[in-house]
Amino acid sequence: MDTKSKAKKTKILSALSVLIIFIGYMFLSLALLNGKSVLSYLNSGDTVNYSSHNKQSEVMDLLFSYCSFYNDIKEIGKTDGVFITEHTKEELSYLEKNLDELAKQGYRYVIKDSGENMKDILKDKFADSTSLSYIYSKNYHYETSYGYDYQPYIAENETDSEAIEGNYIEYATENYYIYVWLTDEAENNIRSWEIYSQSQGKKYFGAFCGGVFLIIGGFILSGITSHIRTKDKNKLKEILYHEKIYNDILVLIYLIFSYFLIYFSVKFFRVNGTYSVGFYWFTEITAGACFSLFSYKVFVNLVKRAKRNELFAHTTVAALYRYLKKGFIKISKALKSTLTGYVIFFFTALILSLFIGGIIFIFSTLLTRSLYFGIFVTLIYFLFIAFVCFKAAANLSLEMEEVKEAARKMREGDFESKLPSNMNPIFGKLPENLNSIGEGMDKAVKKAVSSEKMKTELISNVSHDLKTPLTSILSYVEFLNDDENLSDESRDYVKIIKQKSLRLKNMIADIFDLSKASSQTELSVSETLGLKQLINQTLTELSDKIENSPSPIKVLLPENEIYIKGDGKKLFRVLQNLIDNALKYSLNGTRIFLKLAETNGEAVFEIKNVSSYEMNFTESEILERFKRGDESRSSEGSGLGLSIADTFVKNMNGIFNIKIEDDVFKAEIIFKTVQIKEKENA
Amino acid sequence: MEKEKILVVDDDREIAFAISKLLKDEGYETVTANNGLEALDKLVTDKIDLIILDIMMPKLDGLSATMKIREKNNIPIIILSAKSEDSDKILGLSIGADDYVTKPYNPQELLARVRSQLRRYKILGSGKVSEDKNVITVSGLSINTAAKTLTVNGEKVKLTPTEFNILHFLMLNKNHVFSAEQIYSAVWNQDAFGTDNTVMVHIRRIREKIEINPREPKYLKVVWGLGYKIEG
Repeated sequence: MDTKSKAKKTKILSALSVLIIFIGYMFLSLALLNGKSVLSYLNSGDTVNYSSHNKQSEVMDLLFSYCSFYNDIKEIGKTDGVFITEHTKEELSYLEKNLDELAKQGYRYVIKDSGENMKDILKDKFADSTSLSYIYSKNYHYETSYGYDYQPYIAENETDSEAIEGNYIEYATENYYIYVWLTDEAENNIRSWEIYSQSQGKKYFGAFCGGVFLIIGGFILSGITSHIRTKDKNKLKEILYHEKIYNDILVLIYLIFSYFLIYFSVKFFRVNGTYSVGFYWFTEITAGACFSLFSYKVFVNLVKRAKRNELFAHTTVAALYRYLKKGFIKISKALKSTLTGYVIFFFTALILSLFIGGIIFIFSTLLTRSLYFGIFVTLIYFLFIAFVCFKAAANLSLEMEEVKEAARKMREGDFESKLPSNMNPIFGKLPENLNSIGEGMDKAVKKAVSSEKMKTELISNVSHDLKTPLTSILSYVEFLNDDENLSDESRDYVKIIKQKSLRLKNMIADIFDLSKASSQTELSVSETLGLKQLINQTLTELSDKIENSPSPIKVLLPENEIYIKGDGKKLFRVLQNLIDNALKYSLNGTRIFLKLAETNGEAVFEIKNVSSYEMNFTESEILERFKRGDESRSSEGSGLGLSIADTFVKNMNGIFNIKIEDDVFKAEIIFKTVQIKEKENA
Repeated sequence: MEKEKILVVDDDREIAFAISKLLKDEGYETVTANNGLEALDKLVTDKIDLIILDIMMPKLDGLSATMKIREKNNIPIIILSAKSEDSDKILGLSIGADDYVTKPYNPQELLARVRSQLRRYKILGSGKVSEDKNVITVSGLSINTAAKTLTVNGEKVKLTPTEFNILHFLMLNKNHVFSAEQIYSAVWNQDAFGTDNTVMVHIRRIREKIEINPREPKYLKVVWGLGYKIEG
């Protein structure tokens, strides 16, 4: 099966699992909403077991819930010795509301004032009082399901006390008592409602179970989808950002979310009896969609984690365990090291000194029977301890500074200084190691310096030893050349010997210069130079060659002088080599372009010429020593011209570039410019 | 006129012979020595007018020999060495040599230098120093501002008026480096413009006239990227 159709299949599967969970949720919520007593049905089975005690506690909760009003009593008036407070009014309003609620549920209540004075207030409050002077009662039985109407129950007199004797709840305050009980009729009504709702519960139990099974099925399907998808190793490896959450936290969030979703969506409609059908479906579908998508994601994630063997490993508990384990390993490791030994020693010493301080305090106080003396002695003791601690810390930090200083010196190339061997053991082998590093570096540097020196001497000697025989050759060739008895043929030979010897002389000089420059033994002089003047000087110097060349040089110099830092003599050599090179290898009649420009604080010198032959080499090849473009090696140069230019420019911190484009050869030198004040003309 | 006697000192006998032959062909008398000690002996036994001295020699090297000779003698010494670094040249000249020629040498250049040194030794060295206020002398260069003439080691050199003015300006301020523009404004008395390299061309001509090897000038030096100066 190709991956495309596989991906399609998993997509269908995942959509299916979301849909199944959604349908399951809809069943469940419907069951929970309509089968009010599905749960009580589940609790009690088929038998109706009405418990008035359950109801009683419900009533008590209702009445006591207002108790929070007891705080902050404000006196607002006084009638015949009874305190009428703002609080009382609020209390009564609240009571009225709650009692109304109770009456609606089929309860009856009696309010009995504790004294005559309360009557008026109560009467005033419950204005639609019908009869009794000190008992006010009101009663409703109410059951919409059966189609009953409101039927106000009016108690004639205190005979209701029978009922009160029976099964009542007393609620007493300072000013009045309230008795609440359920009328027989209401009790019957409630009982039949319970029976009804239990039968309803039975009916919706099927829906409930179906919903639960569908949801579980959806979960399983989500898991299967995830399993199929993660068969692809890459998918399994990949953990998306939102999937990083720990498994246990995810499950916890999921459970809380689901609980609130179901609880509120069901409870809302159960409490608020009236709602539009559209609103109901809108809410339930939204909740169902949220629940199903979330469930799907959670199960997909969990299966993925399980397949990665991370179901338990990727939990906060496991992470905490790993963290602690790591910490313990680290601590146990550190315990073995000197530093931690010292830390532990320090803390032990701290606790011990505190302990001794306490003992000193107790004993000195007890012995002298003076608290002040005890405090004084203890204070002196702690001052002493503090001094000892400070001294130790100072010693340590001074030694630390010493070590730092040694490291700094070493960085700066001073390998001579040594750390003392008797340093605080807290440093362990650090001073010793630093010392031996220093020794090693010292040896290496000395060796390098001496070998560099030897190298320079060697170059110098070789150059000298090569020049001496060459001097003889040239001298005697000159004599031969002057010999008038020489045949023409021999004279030609002598001419060739002279030519080649001169070339050898140039080569030796160039090799010598190059070796010196690349071994860096010869430090470049760095002075501020006028690049424009230098170019002009060079051009003047080479004017003979330039004038005799078939390739004219086109010079483009800026108006103002450009200053750089460098070694004038070497730079002249570089320019000379480049111009020589251009003159030597230019195609006859083509122009050589020589440019100098300043851009962004950089002086750019550029010389461009059209080559007289095809340049079948690369930019880097031409810079190799003894590399010559024409390969014939017949001309007089040493083949080191460009190498020397390259090395010299680099020694002066410049950039040397060669660019070859078809037949155009371009050499470029870049230097950082320096700003100087124009010298005033003398 | 008696032939000048030149002492050629080189541990390489072939080179010593070649130099002798070169000089003899030019009409000088020569004596050769193969190390510094021998050279010192020859100085005692012969009446020498000029010494050509190698540096790297056994027994006594050229530099030590130069110092020894200078203790009691001021005859011209030309060092001829394969050591070609600037530092070697500066060292040789500062301990008392009059000239420094590197190996392999150009025979014509060597002869010119020998001639120049001998002339200077015979004419100026004899104590006949001009006391004319109009004469300015730096090293072997000497100009007469009144007569507008120049002599290099006693030999007259012809200069154009501009060349003379430039040289005069530089000699008045010897060892001071002037840029081409500064020289222009000083000599022409007007500001220099842009890329004009008139001064440079003139200076090159002057060098060709006064220097034995214009590529390695002894008097009028090029300070690359900065300008020109007369060294003295």
